[in-house]
Amino acid sequence: MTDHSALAALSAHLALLSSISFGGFPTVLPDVRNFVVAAHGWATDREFTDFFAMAQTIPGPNMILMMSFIGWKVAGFPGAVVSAFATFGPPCSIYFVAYRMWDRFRHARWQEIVRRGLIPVTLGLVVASGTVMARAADAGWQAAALTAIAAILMLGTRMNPLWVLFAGGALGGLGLL
Amino acid sequence: VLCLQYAHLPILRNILGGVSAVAAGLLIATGLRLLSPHRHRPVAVVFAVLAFILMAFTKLPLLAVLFGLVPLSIAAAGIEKARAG
Repeated sequence: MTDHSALAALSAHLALLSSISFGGFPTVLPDVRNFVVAAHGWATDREFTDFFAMAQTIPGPNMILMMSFIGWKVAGFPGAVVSAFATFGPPCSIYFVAYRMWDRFRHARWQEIVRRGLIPVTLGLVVASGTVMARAADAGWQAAALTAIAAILMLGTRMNPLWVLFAGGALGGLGLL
Repeated sequence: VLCLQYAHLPILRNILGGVSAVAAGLLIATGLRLLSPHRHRPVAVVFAVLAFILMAFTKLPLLAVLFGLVPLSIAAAGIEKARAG
């Protein structure tokens, strides 16, 4: 496949996914991985998790960054720009149109029901996404343990996530994983 | 982007490996924490677990999972609400 058609396929897929990314873009990560790594082989699992790690450590809109890394890998600089637009364009425009309507019915009964129905599905997807990313990294039991410890620390304490990320990087850098 | 050019250096590889393991854990924690106010709603727990299993352990596309689960989940939430009065 040429760079151009690959980029067209990638951006169309990202635009579709970002339009249905209830609960934030992390919910669609497993699907992106399937598309980019498993179906098209544009990047390896290793690269995919590297992109994820880097996007999470740099301040800013992490998922847009991560998708532009993938776009960069597929088609260079234009790929990065197009992927970034495909990631934030559709949800921004949907949000812009939908928010006024959603707000008008804020106290309607049906809206609460829709919200209560969407929340669990969305959050199940977020947890699935973390699991898929951990598995894609596929670095043995030490890394799996680190993932579990990080999750427990975040749930059990009010620690700043940056410290945990930093500690993870340090452990990895020391060759302990 | 510069970092990516050097991603093959072993030390950087290892650091990124550690960071991505933690980042995955943070994502899991975020999902679980936001879910915890709903943990006493059996309906919510069932649909969260279903969504988790379908996306984490099958190769179904997200679109299929969403269109399959969301209508059912909203319907279940409606019934739950009607029962509660």
